[in-house]
Amino acid sequence: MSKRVLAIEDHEENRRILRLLLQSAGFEMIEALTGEDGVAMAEKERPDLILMDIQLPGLDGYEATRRIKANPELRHIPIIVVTSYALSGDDVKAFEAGCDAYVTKPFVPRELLAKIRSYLG
Amino acid sequence: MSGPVRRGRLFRKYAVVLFVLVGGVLMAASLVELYFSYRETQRAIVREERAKAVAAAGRIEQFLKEIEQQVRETTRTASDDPDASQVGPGRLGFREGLGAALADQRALDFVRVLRNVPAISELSYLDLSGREQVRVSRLDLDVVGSGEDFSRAPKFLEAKTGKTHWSPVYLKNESEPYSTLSIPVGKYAIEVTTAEVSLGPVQKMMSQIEVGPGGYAYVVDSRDHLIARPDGQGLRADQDLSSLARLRSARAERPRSGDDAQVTVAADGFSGGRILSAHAPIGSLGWLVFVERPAADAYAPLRAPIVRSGVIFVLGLLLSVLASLLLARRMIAPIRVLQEGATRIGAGTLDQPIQLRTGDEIEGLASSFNQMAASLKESYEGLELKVEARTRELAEANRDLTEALEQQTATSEILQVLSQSPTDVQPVFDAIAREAVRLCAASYSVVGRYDGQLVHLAAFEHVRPEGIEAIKALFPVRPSRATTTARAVLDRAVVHVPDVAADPDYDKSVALGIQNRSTLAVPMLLNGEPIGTISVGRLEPRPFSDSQVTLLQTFADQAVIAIENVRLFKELQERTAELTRSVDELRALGEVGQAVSETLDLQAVLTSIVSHAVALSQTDAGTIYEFDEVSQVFVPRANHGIAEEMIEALRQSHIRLGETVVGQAGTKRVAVQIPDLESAAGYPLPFVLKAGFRALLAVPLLREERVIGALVVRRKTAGTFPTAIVNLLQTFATQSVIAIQNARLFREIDEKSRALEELSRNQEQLARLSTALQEPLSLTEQLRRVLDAARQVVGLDHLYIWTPSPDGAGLVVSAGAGLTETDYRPLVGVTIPFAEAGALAAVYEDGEPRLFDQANPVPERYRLRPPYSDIAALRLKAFLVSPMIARGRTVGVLSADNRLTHSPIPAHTVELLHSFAAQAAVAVENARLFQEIQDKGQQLELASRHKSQFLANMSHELRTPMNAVLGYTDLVLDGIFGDVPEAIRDTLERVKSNGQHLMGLINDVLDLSRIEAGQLTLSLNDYAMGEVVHGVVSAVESLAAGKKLALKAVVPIDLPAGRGDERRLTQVLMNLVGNAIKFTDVGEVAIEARVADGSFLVAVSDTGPGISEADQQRIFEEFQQVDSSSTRKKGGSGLGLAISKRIVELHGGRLWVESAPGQGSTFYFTVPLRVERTAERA
Repeated sequence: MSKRVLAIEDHEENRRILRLLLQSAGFEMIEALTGEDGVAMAEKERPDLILMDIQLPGLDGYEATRRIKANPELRHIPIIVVTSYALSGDDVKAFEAGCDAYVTKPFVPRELLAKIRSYLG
Repeated sequence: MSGPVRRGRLFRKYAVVLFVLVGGVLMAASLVELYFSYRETQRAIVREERAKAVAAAGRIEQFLKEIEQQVRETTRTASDDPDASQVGPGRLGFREGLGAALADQRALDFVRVLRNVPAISELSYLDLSGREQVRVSRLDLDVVGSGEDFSRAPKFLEAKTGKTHWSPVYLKNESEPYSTLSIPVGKYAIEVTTAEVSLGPVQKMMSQIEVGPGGYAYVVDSRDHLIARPDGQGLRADQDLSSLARLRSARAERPRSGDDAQVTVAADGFSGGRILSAHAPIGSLGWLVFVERPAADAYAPLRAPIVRSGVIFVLGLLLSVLASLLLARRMIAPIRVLQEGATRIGAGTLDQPIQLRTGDEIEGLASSFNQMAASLKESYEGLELKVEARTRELAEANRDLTEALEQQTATSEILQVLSQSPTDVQPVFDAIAREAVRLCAASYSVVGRYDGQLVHLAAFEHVRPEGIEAIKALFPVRPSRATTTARAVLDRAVVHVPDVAADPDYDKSVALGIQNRSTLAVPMLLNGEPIGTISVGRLEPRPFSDSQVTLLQTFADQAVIAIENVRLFKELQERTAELTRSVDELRALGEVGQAVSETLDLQAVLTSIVSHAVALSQTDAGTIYEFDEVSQVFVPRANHGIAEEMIEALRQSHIRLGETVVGQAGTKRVAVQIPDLESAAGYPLPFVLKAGFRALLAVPLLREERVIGALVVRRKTAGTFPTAIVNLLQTFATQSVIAIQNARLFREIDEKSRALEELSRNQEQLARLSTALQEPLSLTEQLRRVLDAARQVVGLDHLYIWTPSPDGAGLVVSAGAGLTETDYRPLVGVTIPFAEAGALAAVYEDGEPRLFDQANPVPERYRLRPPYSDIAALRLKAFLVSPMIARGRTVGVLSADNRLTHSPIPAHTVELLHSFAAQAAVAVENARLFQEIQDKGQQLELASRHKSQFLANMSHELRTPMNAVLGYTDLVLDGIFGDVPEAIRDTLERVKSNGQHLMGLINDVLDLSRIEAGQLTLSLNDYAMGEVVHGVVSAVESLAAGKKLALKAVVPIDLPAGRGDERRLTQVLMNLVGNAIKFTDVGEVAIEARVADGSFLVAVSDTGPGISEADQQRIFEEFQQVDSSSTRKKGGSGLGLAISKRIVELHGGRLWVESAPGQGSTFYFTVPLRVERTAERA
């Protein structure tokens, strides 16, 4: 069974890019458009990996990451923050929230894929 | 070897061993034999006893059988009739009848038996029923038919069974043992004959047994009661002996064949002591015969064997002693011989072989010793030869040593001389010359000094008187091959000429003068350069030995040390002297300086300067001239060391610029000197030479490149003035300039103060006030000062400054002077509406000053109304109000009164106060403006923040779609949608590269906006500036190489560790270097980092087009490049420099550029070494 990746991303185009990228690599992608949905989806679907945008309507990516990582049953799921916040301090905030990796937009699809693969082995 | 001590020990050892061995064997043999013969004897005794016991038992049995037989005989007649004897109980009657007949017969028989057998004392006959029929006794009367019933007696009952029975022993008369014998008669109807048998015969039989002295025999019956008791053993007859162990063991024993089993019965006798006991049973009676003897009896036969054994033992011992002595002696003797031989060998007597003919291993040992001695002897002989050789060598070495010692002594002597004469090298040379002759066995020696050109004679020794001239004539000499000395310098090596006559290069005329044949010269080398030579020579041709050459080299080394020492010493002395001089100079300069600063008497100062200058420059006279700008001549102002006439002559000389040393120094603006006046043609002042001066030195006095005079020193001896003196004089010149300057200033100040004095006291106060106003003080404080000053100047009791309230509704007091608490309190926080403020409001409105007094009372319309009329400060009859006008605007009013003194207010104070009011107005206005500026600044700041936030948001909004653009492009290029045709791929690559450029722009904008918004904080860490530089270099290397530009980086290794935001600093340097490479087409880009004033200073220089001054400011502003065309050409956002500048400023550093068009550019930035927190925004 193919690995499932949950992409929490409010931007339609970015979701589409991620979808194309993940499908081409043989992963299944499930989607959430808001932080709240993302957390709920993670609880329900138990994906193998989560791609997390930071700027999301409502609950932002930092908080969503914190909530997922606070759930003992979800804690093991690797979270890669994919964000356009690229200044110094942003990465620190993301890591403090508990994410496993940090990728800035615009990402190079190949590199993001390599990172995802490094977690999904 | 400690032979004597050990002697005999071996012998003793052998003797003892042999003795013990033989004696021991003999002893053991004797003991064993004795033991066995004891055992044998014991056995024999026991055997004998037993034989006796058996014999006794046989006899007793025989005796008893005999008695039985006798008794049985009596019964035979009575029982002839076998039938009768076979009659059963039924025929008893018959028997009874028969019995009476028989009884008599029996009695007769019994009597016969008694007669025949003395042991029987009584016989009786018992019938079938056990009744006694007949009894015949030796002692009693015979009884027939007594009928006494014995049917229950044991003697009858036992016999009735058909067996002959012996009763247990019983005693008669307390002592005689008796036994009753019962013999059955008849086969079926058994009758019994009994006999009382005395056992005395048994007792007798026992006592007759030969058992030796102490031995005894006895018999016990089946109950173990004593039957026949032994003599003298204290036993009762019939005593129960069943408790005896030997008896029990005898009873337990089964009858066996052979007698050995009973042999060793040893037990305790009745009367104590060990006994040997033997026994024998007596038939079926169960009696036992015991024969016992004391165990000691067994030893009796042993006595003889013991004596025999003892004798043999002693004999054997004697024999063994003898044998051991003999044997030991025989063994020890050769060992002694060996020992002596070994001692001899040890003592060194090797020619006496050990004579031993024992024919065994010892002889082998002896011959080994002999061989050893022989080989020792051989090696000794070899050794002696070697020792002799070594002694010879030692003697030679000793000779060498003596020589070396002598040389060393000489060396140390020279060293001593060397240490004793640190200032003079001559004694060292003399000592070297002396020692060289002595130790090299030379005829003479010569020491030369080489000055780089010529070799000079320094010392010589033992030169023949005739040769001295030749040698002196020879020196100084150039390095050449003509003599060994000159050649050593030329070659910088040892020169040894064994015979000058045979050396083609050697100057024969020199040889003729000195008459030398063998010569040797070594150079003194200092750092490889010759500084002298030492040469020795002999008058006969005899070469010098190697050790002599070495010695001479040592001397040369020492000479070098001496020369160096002296040089260093002299240098030290010079330095010390210099230092002393410097100290003197400093002191003098100090004094002069003090004079300059303390006294304004210019003449005195200049005189002091010139006298010190002359003293310190070690000259004889000096003059300070002042250049008169008007007449353009140098006028002597101060002199030292010259006569009045000469001063006058100098004054008359009217020296102009360019004339004499003074004028020339003035023209050239440098020090000018004449080392020797005599040789200086055309010197225009002949009287100077006439006064005896030979050398002159002049330095100009310059102030801001203008000549204001000159300082001249004169010396009566010719010679160049050293630089130190020139420098010194220049210092004095500077001092003189200051002095003159000071004097001028003082003159000016003096004049000005006099002018100032003329100014009124009021004006002075005003001036003071003006300065006060420029100080950064609070408005209240400034106003208070204005009022204080005004109060002092104008001399009024109270002064107030009124300014509009913040709401503009009226006036409030801003400051006051001369006010008491009572005056001031009612005014605090009170706003007087303009409508109620009377004259104050009027002045504020029309800006016209007003004075009210008795002559000019306050008009009705200005009268105050309650509650304001109650305020003392306002309820005035005489007061003065002046408007405070700044830049044409009334900002308040100043009021004053003489309420306390009631003195009239002079009319002119109106004007005076007016100027104070103006001052106060400026202060108020300034404060207002300052406030305004601050407000504006805050607004601007806010606006700027808004702008930055907007930019941040914008940039984020821009990034999101850009992510999609670039993402899709990448996906296509990665072939997710299948192969991409080349043309499309190329286009997509362009899309991607443009997209990335746009991203770069957006990133820069975001960065800048973050910085502007104050959101950028530095992450401070320790970093190495060297690594920052090298990181940037390696990042841009390929970029530079692509443009064929040289890329250089200069970073000192010892740069200290920095603290700051390494990533940001790398960004800055990357930006600068990137720009440099971007804008440079030919040449190089160089990075240099170093430490200056506690900061890193990093410079990035290029050989690019350069930046004009006008552009240099603009490039640091946002979105600026030098010109838009270059932007288009070179790309980039134009934000990099602005960002870099901000980052550097956040570190508390500075970023700037130095450049000119066509000259390339150098961008510099500094950051403090240790940045501990982000700097405030600049």
